[in-house]
Amino acid sequence: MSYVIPIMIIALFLYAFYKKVNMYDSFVFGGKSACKLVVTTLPYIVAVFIMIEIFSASGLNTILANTLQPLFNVLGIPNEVTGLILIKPFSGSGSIAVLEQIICTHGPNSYITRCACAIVGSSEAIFFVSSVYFAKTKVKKFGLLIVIALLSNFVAAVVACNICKII
Amino acid sequence: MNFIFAVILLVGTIILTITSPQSVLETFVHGSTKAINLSIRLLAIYTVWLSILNIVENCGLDKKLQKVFSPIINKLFGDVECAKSDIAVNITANIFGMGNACVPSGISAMQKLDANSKYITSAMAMLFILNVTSLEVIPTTVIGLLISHGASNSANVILPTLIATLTSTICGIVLTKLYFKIKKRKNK
Repeated sequence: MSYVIPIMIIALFLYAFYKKVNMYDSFVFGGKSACKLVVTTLPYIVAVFIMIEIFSASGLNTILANTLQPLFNVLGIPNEVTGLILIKPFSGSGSIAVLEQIICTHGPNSYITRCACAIVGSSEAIFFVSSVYFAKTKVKKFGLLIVIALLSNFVAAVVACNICKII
Repeated sequence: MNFIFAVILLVGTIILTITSPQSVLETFVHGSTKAINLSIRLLAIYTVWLSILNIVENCGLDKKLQKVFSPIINKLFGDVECAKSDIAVNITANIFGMGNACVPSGISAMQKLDANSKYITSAMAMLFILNVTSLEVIPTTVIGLLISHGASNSANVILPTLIATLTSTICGIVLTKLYFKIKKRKNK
């Protein structure tokens, strides 16, 4: 599996060679555009990260987890992954850290671990994407879009937990 | 986003002030420190991917990708000629799970789709939904993590993940289409 991306890159380089594309210029250009891009997105990332930090430091995430637990249980979601479902929309790296904890406590082959893996693999950090992707646009009003995104990922989590029971 | 941000920040800060007032400012600074650390890491990642994507463009491969994805893009986004190649690159990067490689093309596509209004258009909404519901076919990060913890059969994670990610993507696409249809009808 780990060969897929390197082989694609080698193929690309060979093709670029054949097409006489100037690779040195391409990398210099990449560096330039990356600098501009990071400068544009930095303020948005800072805002989102302060929100995430407050969300977990204040214990708001535990309060929310405890409130939603009964609903989650009815839908077949085990208690152990509730925290993961709540942190996932906020932070990709945060949810990977939670996943690692789950793997350590429950073992890599357990039902809980498989649920957690499916949850992490089926969704993205919604709040991160929603602020960074629109950094260069004028959009301010998302309507119900964030609700739709959260709902879709939640449905996937429910499906994941129930399907892991069967497979 | 503004509303959610305000609510979480306000409620969180109030709770934190009650439980441990000395750590309020520290938490804010900690958050922004993490953001800056991430941005530096992202700068490195974007440099590599933007260079590779620039080579892809200079070879004219993005036009070929665009052709491959054209039927899907037309169906999902409608008429978006100007942003088509960016969307094609974004979808490819998402499917192969190339870390944050999908972000630069995503931002550039959004910029081209921008209608200069503060309201989101249906094409922008669709791109957003595709990116947050994960198109990743093989969850490389998760599998890597499992293997490093000595999983005996990491492959039995792939099927549930695939089903879950398909569910979220289809659910997202259907709801977004429905949402904009209802909105259109209301405006009439």
